[in-house]
Amino acid sequence: MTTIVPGPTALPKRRGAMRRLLQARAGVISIAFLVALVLVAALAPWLAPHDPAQQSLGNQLQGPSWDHWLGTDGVGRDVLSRIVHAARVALLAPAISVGIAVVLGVPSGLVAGYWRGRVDQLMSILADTLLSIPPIVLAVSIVAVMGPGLTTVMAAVGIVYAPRLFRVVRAATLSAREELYIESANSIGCSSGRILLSHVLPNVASPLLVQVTLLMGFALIAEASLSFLGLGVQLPDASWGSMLRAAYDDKFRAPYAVVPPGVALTLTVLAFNTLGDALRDAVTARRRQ
Amino acid sequence: MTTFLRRLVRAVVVVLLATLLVSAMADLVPGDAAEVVAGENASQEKVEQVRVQLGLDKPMIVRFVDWAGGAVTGDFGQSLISGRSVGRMILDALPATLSITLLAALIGAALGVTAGLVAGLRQGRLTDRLVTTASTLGIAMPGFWIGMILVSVFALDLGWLPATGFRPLSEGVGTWLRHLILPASALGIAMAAEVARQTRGGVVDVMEQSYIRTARVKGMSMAGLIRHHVVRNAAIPVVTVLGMQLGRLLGGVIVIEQVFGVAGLGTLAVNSVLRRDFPVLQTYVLITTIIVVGINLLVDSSYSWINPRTRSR
Amino acid sequence: MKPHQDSPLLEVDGLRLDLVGADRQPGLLDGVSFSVSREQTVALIGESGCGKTMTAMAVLSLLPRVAQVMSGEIRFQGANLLAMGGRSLRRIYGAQIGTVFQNPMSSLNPTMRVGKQIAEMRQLHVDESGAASRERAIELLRLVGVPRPDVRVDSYPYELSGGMQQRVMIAMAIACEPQLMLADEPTTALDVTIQAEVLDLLRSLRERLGMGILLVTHDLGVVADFADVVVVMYAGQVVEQAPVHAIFERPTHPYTAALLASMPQIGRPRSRLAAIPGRVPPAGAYPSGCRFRTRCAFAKAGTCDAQPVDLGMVGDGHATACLRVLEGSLDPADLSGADQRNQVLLSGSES
Repeated sequence: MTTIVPGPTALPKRRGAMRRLLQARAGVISIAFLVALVLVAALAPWLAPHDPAQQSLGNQLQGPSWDHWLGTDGVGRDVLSRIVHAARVALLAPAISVGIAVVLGVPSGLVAGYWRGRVDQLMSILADTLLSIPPIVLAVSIVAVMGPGLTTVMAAVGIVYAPRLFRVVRAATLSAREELYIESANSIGCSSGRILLSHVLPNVASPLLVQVTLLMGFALIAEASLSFLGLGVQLPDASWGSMLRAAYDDKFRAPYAVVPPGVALTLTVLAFNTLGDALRDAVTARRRQ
Repeated sequence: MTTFLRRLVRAVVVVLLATLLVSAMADLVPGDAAEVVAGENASQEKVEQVRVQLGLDKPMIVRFVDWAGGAVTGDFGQSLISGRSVGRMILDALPATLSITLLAALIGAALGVTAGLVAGLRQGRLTDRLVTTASTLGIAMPGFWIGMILVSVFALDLGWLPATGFRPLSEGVGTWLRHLILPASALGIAMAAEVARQTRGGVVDVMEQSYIRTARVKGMSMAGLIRHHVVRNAAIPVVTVLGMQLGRLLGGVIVIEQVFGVAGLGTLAVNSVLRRDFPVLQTYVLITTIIVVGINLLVDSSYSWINPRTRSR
Repeated sequence: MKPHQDSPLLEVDGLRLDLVGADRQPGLLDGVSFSVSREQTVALIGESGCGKTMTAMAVLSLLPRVAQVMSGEIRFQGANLLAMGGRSLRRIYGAQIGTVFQNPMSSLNPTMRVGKQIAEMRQLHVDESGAASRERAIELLRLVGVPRPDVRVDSYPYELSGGMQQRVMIAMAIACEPQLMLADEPTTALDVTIQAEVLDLLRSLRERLGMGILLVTHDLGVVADFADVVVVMYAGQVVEQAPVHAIFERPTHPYTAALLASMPQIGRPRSRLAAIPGRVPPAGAYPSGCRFRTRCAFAKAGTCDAQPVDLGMVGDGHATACLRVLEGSLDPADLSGADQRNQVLLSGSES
């Protein structure tokens, strides 16, 4: 028997193409899922079989049935309808959080990476500081200052993730800048701003896009965690995180009530993560060409 | 050596800034501890009295410097709410959090590195695909939800393990472990997923390198190959992810404590924010920041030891 | 079992290799046969994609999982390597077969000192102390011409130049005094001046240790200088095999002749560099019969597309796979003189 070892050989490039195809398929599936989710969220009032806020105190914590596909919650509300409606929060919250993180992190990262010097040192220390505080404590502190609620949570999560984006953008800018030095020798008279926009930004855009996609998933989990702690979405509105809290409070009566909101969360985060990975592979593949 | 010193100085600055930052934020919170202590129906004067008593009339910077001065000598002040020594409160809450976190770290590292190593060595085969799928799922699942599912299955349904609480070692190792397994596993599984993924990636990268081929034609066995060639070269991404995940454990344990009703450091921290108990909060942030920064420092320093090529820089 | 002096060290016998799996490529190697004896240097030559590296990997038991040996044997000192288990193979590789790869920088472990990597080779096969292995490593470094070996023994690969790194690889390969050395493009990645030095080193080691050498290369210059026997490969098949002088003076296969013609030579009248028109057919889409016929100026329908190809003797130790030469319808002397390029342009390629 020949001893086989995985190693570099003159193997056909088609194997790489095969893998890329699979990745592309995974990327396509996740996009499809997310599009479907957006549609569900947008059409929630029409898609949901019941009124998500309608309580029915004789009907609490029922298991799945024809009338209630995912059963009912602690006060008799239809779980499926609540999940469908909460999809809006599940998409909006991460989007706004990441948006805030982008607004805070990207320009500062560009500036720090491009101009370096004191400005960079100061910003980097600030970013490191924010990054050393356990994210939850930081988020809770921000929420405590601004008062609980969905908007606060979105702002808090955005502020927590801004330093991460700052780092990514700064690193990408630094490496773009290295290449620029050679070009700058030739492009005399090009204003810094123009260089930033036309040269640095495209280099930064790809890793940034990947990070943003991945952050969406993390931001969703962060919002769910904060809502679980009671600091996020307030009653009677629902987010999947707050539904988890309610379900968990009733765990002795209905041990598996925690499953539906959790599954919804996991699938959505999975979609974001898979998409982010597919984007990362596509970006690196293109760069290699 | 000077690089290390520079890093150390920076680390200290970061720690101080972090503590200051969070205190400042807590200071911004409307209302203050005085109101909580004085009670719901207290008159304005009573609240003022309490405020002076607690020293809350002084500006934040002054309070912070006072506290910091004490902290250096080990006196972390008193809780504004209960009056108890903060040091004492932290020590009381520490065993629970420490037990959970350390066991979770052990599970996460052992499970994650092993799974990642095996998957990377058997790239493309069934084992690899199983591990990859499992870790992808594990990363997507919120850590606290993993805890909930574990509770649902093992505590509520099967009744093998308790659903809540923490029991100190003094009540016996068996009891202590029984109450630890679920919360530590929840945290540990979440950590293992990410660790496995990064480890696998590192191992795959190494296995594709030519020097592995060289080791093979030297007549080296798989075991020898792993020990002498794979480990050191795959170490950097593994060490990096372990460092990062240990930091995240500190945050994750806060929510897990909520899930399992454990009165640990995390609960202490959250309450201190909500009740504006500055000394407690400041001390908590100080400790956790020191841990996080310390881990990062260790990880960064280990790079030059692991990969000699980085030394020349 | 003690091998006879004249029985071959390495025998590749009728090696057939397919790529299985998602992209099936049958016949990647088709009946490859040659042998290497003690103190003999055999050069395996051909363009990239001809299968010479795949053959080398088969000899080293380094084939990827998708490459499966369909038939044939690879015998080392009489024993079939393809039929041996891991433990037996591990006793052979390193101890009896030493290998030098093309790119020394990536073939050395970047996080391990070079002395340790050489000593490791000793430790794997020789029962000696760590200190003794280290001493031996220093000796070996001296032997391969690394200056200040007692200092260099503790260097990391990145601290050495390309030429030095390759010397380290060679030191590692001969550490246990193997009977056979397999060198896969050992000088290709090096600067031209260093190439000559490394070749000189290999030559002196060859004399000193009496090794058989299997040299895989695409560089005819290296072959002329260094090899005793040349095995020419094209598209997974051996097309010609001969002592080195015969190959250069009297090639008996159109591909060999074309290869020689495409070598730039000082002293030739200035003309356009003769390139072999067309491309190597992609694996899996090989033409029937002779795989070179679609690019061959001498291809004849009925002969070259019909019969299976096999090596036939045409002289002392000289074999060819050219069907027309073997049947007598093509005189090898006509191969060297012909202007291949013009012939093909005139006659067009046959499918």
